[in-house]
Amino acid sequence: MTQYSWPDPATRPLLGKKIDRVDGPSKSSGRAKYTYDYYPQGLLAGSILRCPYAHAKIVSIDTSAAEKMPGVKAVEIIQKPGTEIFWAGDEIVGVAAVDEGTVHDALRAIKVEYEVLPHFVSDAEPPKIVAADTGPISSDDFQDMEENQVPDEEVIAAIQKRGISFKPSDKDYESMKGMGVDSSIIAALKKAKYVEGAAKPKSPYKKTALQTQGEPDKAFSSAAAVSEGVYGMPCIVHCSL
Amino acid sequence: MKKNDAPKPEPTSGVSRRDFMKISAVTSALPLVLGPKVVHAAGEDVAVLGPGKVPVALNVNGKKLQAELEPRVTLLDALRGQFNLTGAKRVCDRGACGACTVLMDGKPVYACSVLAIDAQNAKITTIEALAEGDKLSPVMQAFVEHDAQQCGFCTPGFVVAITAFLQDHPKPTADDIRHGLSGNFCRCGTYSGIRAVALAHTGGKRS
Repeated sequence: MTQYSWPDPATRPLLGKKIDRVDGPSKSSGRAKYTYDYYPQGLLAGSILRCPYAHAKIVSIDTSAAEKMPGVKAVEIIQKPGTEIFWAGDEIVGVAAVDEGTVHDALRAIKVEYEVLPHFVSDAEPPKIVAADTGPISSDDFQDMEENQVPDEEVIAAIQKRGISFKPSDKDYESMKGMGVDSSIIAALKKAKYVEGAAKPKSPYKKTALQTQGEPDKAFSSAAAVSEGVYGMPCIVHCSL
Repeated sequence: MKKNDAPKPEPTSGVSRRDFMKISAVTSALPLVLGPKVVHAAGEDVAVLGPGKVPVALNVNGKKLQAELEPRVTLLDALRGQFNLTGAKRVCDRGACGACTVLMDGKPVYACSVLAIDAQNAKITTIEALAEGDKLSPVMQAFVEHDAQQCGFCTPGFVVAITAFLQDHPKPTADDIRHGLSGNFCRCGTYSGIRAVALAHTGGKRS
């Protein structure tokens, strides 16, 4: 078998040696030119008007004032009226102009009318769409209430008051039971009056990717101490710089 | 350092915020005409600059520089866009990160938070003037030796801030350095190298 060994420290060209960063002097003196440090002749500045709502439909866009402004070179509607927007910050209109000040003046001159659609921005808040809706409870509404852990008595009260617009089969009840829906809720569903459901806004909730392994309930019941809390994660993007 | 040592803003025109709002109301009602306007406000005549471009004269690194700028242009954007002094970087553009630090009459300031028209009577020194020709300044050289930089985008701001800090604090402790450089951020996290740079110039102990 071949024997490998490190070369003698005295003769190593790189390992264990202090080596200065080759771009160190140009960076520490401020002479390094990043792409961002070039100002070629005729360089335009650009910026984007973004949707301020997490969920909305664009009703109208008026860019006429921006287009007439001196120094504005291009106004491009990225998402047309009628488009449904699903996140605050989505791109609506792009503008290019002779300098940044003019770009921002132009962005301010653009008028966008939105129809704000239901959305929630804090998972600590109760789901407003369920509370606000007085029509019969759809299958979607019911699943939202369960997934958002609306207290059983509130779910039952809502079922009794509003009726349901879906007809669960015996198989559905079995699967609810399997998912941990309380028997009192299943009883309420069975007794609920069926009401033909009108068209409703689509549920804003995404189904959670729920996965359970082991027996957490058993583990909690035998734990010496249980600390409960609601934990959230901020939006994180993978390009920090 | 910036928070503690920055010169206190002194009222120069005697125009209070309330008066300023009155002036704004007056000027916005004036028809747009070319040339400087003067309005009578708060008992004195006040020249109105803008909203278009106005002549701006700056004293930067010992040179007199002139440009036509809108009054809303910051000192930083003037230095970078008009005079090609791109050592000071625009990162946060809101006076938090320190990458745009330059010296105004020897004091470090965030160039993104000073209007070019307000910097006309000051001596501006940028990182470009801290090197001695092609030779790095001792602080710049120490940044290389202590490898106190990675992407290097915050580095010029730190070099300017440390240079000014060491002039005011020739014998800083490690705590002085932490406090004194708290106005600059490094996203790469090269702080230990940067503290070593400051300490290397003072014979202090690394901690």
